[in-house]
Amino acid sequence: MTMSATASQRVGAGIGAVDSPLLTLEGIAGRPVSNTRRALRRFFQQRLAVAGLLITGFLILVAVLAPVLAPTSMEAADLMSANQFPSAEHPFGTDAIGRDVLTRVMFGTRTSLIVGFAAVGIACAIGIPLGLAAGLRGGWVDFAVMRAVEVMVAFPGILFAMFLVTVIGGGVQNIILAIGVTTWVTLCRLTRSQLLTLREQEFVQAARSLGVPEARIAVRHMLPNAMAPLIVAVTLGIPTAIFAEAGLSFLGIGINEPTPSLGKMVADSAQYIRVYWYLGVFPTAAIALAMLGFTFVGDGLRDALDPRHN
Amino acid sequence: MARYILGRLLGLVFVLFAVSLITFLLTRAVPGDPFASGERELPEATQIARAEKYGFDQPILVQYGRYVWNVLHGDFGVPFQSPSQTVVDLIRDTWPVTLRVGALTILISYPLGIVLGLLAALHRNSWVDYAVTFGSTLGMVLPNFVVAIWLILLFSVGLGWFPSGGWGSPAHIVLPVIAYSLLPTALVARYTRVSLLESLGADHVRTARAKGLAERKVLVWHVARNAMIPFVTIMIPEIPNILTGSIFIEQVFRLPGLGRFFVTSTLTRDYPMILALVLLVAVVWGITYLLTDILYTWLDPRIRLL
Amino acid sequence: MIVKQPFRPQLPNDDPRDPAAIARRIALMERRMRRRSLLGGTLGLAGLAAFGGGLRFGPAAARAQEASLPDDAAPADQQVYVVPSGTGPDKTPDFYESVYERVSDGASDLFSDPLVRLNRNFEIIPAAALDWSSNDEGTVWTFNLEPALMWNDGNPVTANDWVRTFQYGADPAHAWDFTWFFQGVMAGWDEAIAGEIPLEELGVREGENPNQLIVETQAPAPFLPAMLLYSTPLSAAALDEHGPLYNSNPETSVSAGPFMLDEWAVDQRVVYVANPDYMGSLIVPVQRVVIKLAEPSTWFIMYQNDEIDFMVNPAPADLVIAQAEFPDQIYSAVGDFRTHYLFFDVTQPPFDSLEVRQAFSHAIDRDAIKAQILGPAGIPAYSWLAPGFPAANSDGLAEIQAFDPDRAKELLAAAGYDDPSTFPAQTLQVRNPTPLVSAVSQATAAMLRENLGIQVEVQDVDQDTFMDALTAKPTEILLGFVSYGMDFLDPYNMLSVWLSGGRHSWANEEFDTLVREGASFIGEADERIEIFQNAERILVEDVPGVFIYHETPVQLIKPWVLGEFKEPDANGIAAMHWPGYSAMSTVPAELYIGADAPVGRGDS
Repeated sequence: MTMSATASQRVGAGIGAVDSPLLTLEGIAGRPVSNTRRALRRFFQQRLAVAGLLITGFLILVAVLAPVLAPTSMEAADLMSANQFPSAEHPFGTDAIGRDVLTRVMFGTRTSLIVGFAAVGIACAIGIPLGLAAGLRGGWVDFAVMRAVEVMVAFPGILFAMFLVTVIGGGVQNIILAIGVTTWVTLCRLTRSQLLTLREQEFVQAARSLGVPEARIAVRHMLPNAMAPLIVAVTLGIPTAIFAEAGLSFLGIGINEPTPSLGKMVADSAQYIRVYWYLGVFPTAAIALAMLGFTFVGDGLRDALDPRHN
Repeated sequence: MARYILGRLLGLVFVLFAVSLITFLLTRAVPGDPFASGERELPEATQIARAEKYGFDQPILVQYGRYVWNVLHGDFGVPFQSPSQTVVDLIRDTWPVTLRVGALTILISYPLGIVLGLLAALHRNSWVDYAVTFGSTLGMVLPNFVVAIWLILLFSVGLGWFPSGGWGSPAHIVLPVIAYSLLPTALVARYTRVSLLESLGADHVRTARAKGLAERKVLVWHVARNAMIPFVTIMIPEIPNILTGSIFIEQVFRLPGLGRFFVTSTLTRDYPMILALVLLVAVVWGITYLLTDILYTWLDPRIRLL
Repeated sequence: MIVKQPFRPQLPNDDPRDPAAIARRIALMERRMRRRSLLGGTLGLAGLAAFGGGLRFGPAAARAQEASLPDDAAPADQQVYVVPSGTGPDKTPDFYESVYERVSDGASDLFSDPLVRLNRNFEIIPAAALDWSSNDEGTVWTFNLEPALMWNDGNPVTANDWVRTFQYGADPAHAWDFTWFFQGVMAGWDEAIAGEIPLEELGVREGENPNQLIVETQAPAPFLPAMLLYSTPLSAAALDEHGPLYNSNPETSVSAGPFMLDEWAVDQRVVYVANPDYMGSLIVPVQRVVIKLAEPSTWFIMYQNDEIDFMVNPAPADLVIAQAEFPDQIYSAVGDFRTHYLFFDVTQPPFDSLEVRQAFSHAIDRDAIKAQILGPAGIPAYSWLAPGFPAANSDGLAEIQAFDPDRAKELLAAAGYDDPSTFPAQTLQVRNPTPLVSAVSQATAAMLRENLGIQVEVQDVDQDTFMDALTAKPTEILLGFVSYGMDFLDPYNMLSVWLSGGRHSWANEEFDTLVREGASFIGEADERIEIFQNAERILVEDVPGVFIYHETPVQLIKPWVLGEFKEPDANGIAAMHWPGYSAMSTVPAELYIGADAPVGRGDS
């Protein structure tokens, strides 16, 4: 079971989510990619996509400006005002050692987005090249890559995360590495299945019969057509990674305090929410917002990039 | 096809070797003694005696070789955390609990999700559609350990309808299945909706309609079959996930299932159990992927297996 | 101090050579025979004897007849006590198989009587040993055993059972997780665990008869009887027949204690039922103990739902609910005199500087931690030994590590860190924290940041990794947060944690000498205490650790659990006594289930 599978159902979900409908082996028939401007126009014509972009932009803004926007510094803890319910002074309340929850949600958003983007970046860096190799070369390369995928699916991700954290330390970068290294499987399978389908498409066959070199077909004709589902997968992989971090935090394999992350806040709140509900509600809401934002953007991108709409 | 399947199964054997070797090395690389070191430092003599007792004093490849040899003879070892049983006993005792809850979850969530997704797709942009979209987003966002706690507070502590946890009677299974079902229901609804919409708009469906096929026939055959492909891709791999359980749900509801061993075995450095679970997952996923690929060729004859 | 006279505050006339005692024992055996002949065999004859403090000890076999239960008690078939216990490696119910991987910390070691017990006033009282004495040097200890004790397979409990149990503990092939306990104490132990001498040469043997056990020590060991709280024997016959895990399975389980194993569903529950053949001295009203194995985070909901009768250490938020909804069910106990503390690797910079360590010790406001986080779960600590523990000197040592942020800054500057930002960033490693410990450790780190101006991160580390890193030589933890609770009630036990070459890297010859001297000191008790107090002063002044709080475990106990434990003890504490519902303490005799208890609590 992968970390994703074990660490939480949630993470498994993400994996599913990443295998977006467009993988659909079906579907991306058609011509080389349409021009960017038209795709952009189509994207901005969708209300939900724009809303998603606004949400995502807002979160990124909060993350970047957290040191400026937050009411207190990230480390500040005033034990004497611990466990305060939301008030004018502390709009999101304070936690068990007197830290301002709004501050922590802001810095937590920052950490979680970094984890999300970076882990997905690692997953892309491993998964897409392997998927390309498997899909393009086929044969034994494909067989080997797919067996590697099966190895990774069974790979004990928690053990690996624990190895990184205990041997190197509980820094953000190790959590990112642990998540990235165990979640490339989805992107790899997606890329490969895209190419397998595209290989059989009429326009690729046509190019081939015209004598266009195989490498050129791959780069000019196949990759652009495979981009749409990959972009979707990447946007959806970000919340997935955020949840994976939450899962690891719940197991006590998390980022060192006082650096907050949304996942860790939700996990830590489990023991407190019956009284101090706000400790769980606000970070959960922030994760939900991120999930919504990235999902809407992903859906919008898919529709905008789908060549059939040309 | 037979040759293909045989090749895949041989590949699986290779996968089992690879993953067990990697895991074996990783278990030894992670610091921490597999046996409670307790509060005080153990005398050196005892530490040495312990290493000898479990063969940890041997070179690591010798240890691995011995493990493989034993496994080939059907001996997966004795779990450090429960030495009065074998690893096989422990899995045999606990997996059925997880399987039962998981199977029920699949039986409830998949049909429910399909119906919801269907309703949403057929009434696109109506309030039904929005409700399903909103609900499924919520289902994907709420962490299941939070949902589980609220379910217990509401239905057990508050209303007293169900026990707060444990195992043994049908009443014990209700809340865990609800907690487990939330996510797959949401996912199935979401993907059913999206793939149906895709499929409804696809060229060949439009062609079929143009050719005058009765609407129902279009729906049932072309649409459903096309919608199946993404569904198979996304939801079939969820099944092994569900059937191997989740520590969060099992801990909160005190289910004596297999799911938490994926975590607890790691935390307690229970080497034999970690390895057995890794092998089990590799087999379950290997077979799932194989079945998925075979299903593809059946759903879309254009797809060739290599 | 040598106990030359048999030490038996509770049971008079128990000298086996006393004619009256012999007569009593004969009567006992007869009763036993008669009882065995009764169908069902659970009814015995009333033979109650009430002893000090209302504690009910009986010669034997007189437990839990309906006639003997108080008026407000539930009938015998509803004398069911339900407790939770954490999941995790549950290898055995037996101490000598594994201490840290024993099932059920809630109710344990009930399958045989230890040589001695710890009563609620923290006195060592006779249990399986009716009396004990030592030679003049304090190195050869003779325990006279209760001859009536029987295993429920029909074998008598004899000195040989203890001999085999101690030998098993020392057996290198077993590699017990508690071998350190008798290291340096029991004659031959250190050689036996290293496999250098045969187990038969271990300093434990049968005396003049099968009911006399002799234990030899390497040096005078006045604390030996206190240590032998942990002496619930295994059955020699069962060890031979079924091996050391015989108590993991009801079919092979053998008991000479108040309970026997009825069911063990791994990671679900363990059920004990009263042992009708029990011949020991506890009179136990409870007929059935159900241990529900569950994550501690789920206990509070089970408690609220009436699914368990007792729990310990609710999470902070759960305690808030308890205080609001059922404050009368909250008990504050003494527990194992556990101290939670920050420690340094004093061999490494920057903590090789005493001034730096002192700066840390003055930077932590324990009173604020008590007020805002601990509540009833702990009291501020400025020294190692908790109040009430023998040789504790809390008031006398309170000023040494007192909270004084100004002095803390001065000391840090004096250590060469005028500019605190030049102090190397630290990671405080915390051992597997509960929500409470997590909050305390994070507040501690926040105070270090705030009051010293240095960088401190907090990393939670799982138990195995942490202990491995801590005890590695050299230690791999520069700055950590951990706790220690007593094993036995003697200053030597708590202070020995800090001996050179032990748990921590701190080494202080003067301290070592004093602790060793105190340990084997034979003479006036006051003098011995003073030696230990001098040692503790060195410990506190040299600051290898900053002591944060002494744990006073919070117990939640349902109102239908009644009995002696609710009355204040000699120390004014009304709660269940450590080590809990175990044959090592008198708790099993101190409680019964009231008539208003909901029925069916132990069913699932």
